[in-house]
Amino acid sequence: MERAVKRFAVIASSLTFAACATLLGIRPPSGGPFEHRAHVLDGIACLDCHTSIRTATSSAAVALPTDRACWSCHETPHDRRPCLQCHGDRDTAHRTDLARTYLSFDHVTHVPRLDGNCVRCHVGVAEESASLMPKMGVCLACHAHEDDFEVRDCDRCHVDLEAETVRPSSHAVHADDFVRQHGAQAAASADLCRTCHTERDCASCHGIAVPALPWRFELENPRRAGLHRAGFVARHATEARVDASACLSCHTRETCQSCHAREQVATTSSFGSPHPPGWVGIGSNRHGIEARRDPLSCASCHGGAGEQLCVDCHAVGRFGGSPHPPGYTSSKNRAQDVPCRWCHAP
Amino acid sequence: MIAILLLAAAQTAPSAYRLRADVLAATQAPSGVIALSGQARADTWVSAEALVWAGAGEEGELDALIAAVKLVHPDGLGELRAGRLLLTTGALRPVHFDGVTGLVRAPWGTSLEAFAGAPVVPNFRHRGGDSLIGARAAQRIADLAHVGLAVVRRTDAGELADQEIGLDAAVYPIDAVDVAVRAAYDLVTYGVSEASLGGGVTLGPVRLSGLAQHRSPSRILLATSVFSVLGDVASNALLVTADWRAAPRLDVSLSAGARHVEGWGDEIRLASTLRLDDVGRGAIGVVLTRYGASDAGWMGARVFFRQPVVDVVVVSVEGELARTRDGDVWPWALGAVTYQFLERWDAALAVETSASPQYEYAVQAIGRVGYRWSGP
Repeated sequence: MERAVKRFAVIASSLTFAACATLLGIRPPSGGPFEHRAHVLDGIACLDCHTSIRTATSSAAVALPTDRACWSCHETPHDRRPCLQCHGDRDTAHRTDLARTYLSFDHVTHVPRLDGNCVRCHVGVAEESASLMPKMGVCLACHAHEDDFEVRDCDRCHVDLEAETVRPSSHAVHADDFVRQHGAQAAASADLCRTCHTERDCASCHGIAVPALPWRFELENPRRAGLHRAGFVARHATEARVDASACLSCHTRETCQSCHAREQVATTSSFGSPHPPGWVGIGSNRHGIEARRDPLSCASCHGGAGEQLCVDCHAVGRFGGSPHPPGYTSSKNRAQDVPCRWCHAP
Repeated sequence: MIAILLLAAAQTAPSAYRLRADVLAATQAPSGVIALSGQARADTWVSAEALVWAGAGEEGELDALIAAVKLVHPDGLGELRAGRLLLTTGALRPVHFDGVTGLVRAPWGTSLEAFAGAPVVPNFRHRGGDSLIGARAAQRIADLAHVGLAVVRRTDAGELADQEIGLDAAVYPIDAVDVAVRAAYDLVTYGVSEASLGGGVTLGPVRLSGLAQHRSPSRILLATSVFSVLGDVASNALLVTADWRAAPRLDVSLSAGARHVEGWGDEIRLASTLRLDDVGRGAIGVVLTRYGASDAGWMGARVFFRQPVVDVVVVSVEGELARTRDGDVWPWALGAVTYQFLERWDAALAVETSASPQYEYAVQAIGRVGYRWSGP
């Protein structure tokens, strides 16, 4: 009985580990990379096995050798299973399929130019590397493709960059929190960003003519989590209170104003003052502190003509006193420029 | 004009245009939007991009998010962009503007960019006296670093609204390390309006990054606002993030930071995404967040699930529960089904429900139909 329980425990744990490993994408080691180097050293040319490469266009089937090609030399196979099931990395066919889907590339034009020297691009052959697909840098080493890259002509090779989820390895910087960190990097390297991103990508956040529209269309893509996804509408007031300057980086006072007006949130006197008791007064006076902390919130209702409300009390000589901080200086002419002249002009 | 150019490009250029039309309708309000977007290249040096939309709700609206033509020198020596653009250059804050920007690159790594136009006013309204003009000079130092200096002057109805000088630099001495800094100095009410220093190092499957940031809200506001002369309580934040590819399909990200605005606040975020296939069409994710300052903040959890049922049908479910420091709880959820049909069409239907300070509860259905074509 005890033995049966132990056996059951071993089987159950093995199945659980196998299921977890499958879910996490962890694969058992395959037979290792295909023995390309050994074949080359034996004097077998690449095109002897990859026969269909000579005519392979960008829409042709993936040019992996068939079992029949192997049997032409290995006349007595030791096994009935397909050769590539053990000889070669198991992901190779999958990766090649992805490349076929997302890259516009044909061997038929490249092979003659290289005079059959495939290793010039497939450098991994010499190192017995698991991945033989050339990295983008290898493509750019040729003058024509270097020019394509310089002018960001991605479409020449990448069929649909937006849909291509396999990103270059250097894009590790686009991690989960990248949305907040990208500003500093984009400042110095906007040119690099434009390699993949269009004006629309930037305008999705920074544009002021319905910026969130492109994201709003992606109902079914929760992984495209912008700053304002999920329940942002409910918590935006809290977030603005925590760090109002973060809102200001993209939004203007009109952003708040137009939405609050449309949704009838604290926009007209019929709703009464949204401010707590003691907001403005002689004994208790919180509004100055809050205005310094979150000027956008004030400006979203009191901006434009509403700023006269401030001027009524704080103009020079009025009882509100100077609103400027100690040591305040400005390059503006206080008698002529807006907003200085509202308070300072005689 | 842009539409004509896109169509013209479509006629003249092989495999160089991509267009998309989307219709979005929501039951709440009710409202609807039609958006047309596309990009096209007439040959190796002319391209165009546009996203225009029309909305119907309580008021009809028509606007363009982007409508730009781009000329690029075939050898990359320069480019010219004109139309409605998103100006992103150096340490200057991005500005949505109608105008022209030109860039010249010298072979030794120097580049000069100049731009002129007017900031966008929504719904094609025109405001006389609005202008934006500026320039940036930058130098590449081998393949190790970039440094740039930019200046901008903006007027609002003829009045000086912003005058700033910005410094940006990036250093990437080896593939695994990058550091970038930018700082903008306000030349109207003298002082640093915004500065940030970010950097990261990649160690195998782990990337460690850090960000330090300073923002002065009154200096970020346009200087024509009376609220720009009050001085301000600046925001200073420091954030450290570790991103770890724990397994081929599992990503884990942990951020922790502190912020000072009047008092101290904290920020902690733990996120994990498990892709259900090698490409990531299906995924499960969870995000735990705590975000706050001395007297406000929230904490919550967001989960999502997305899975193709068959090749052409994808279902997704997403939910969030946020609890503010005042004890209010704001739930939000969205379920969606997407169906791709007839090769170029796709349709999505979603139901979104939430509670917020504005509504005790709200339920709305959102539908989208899209059509895309490219060619030839």
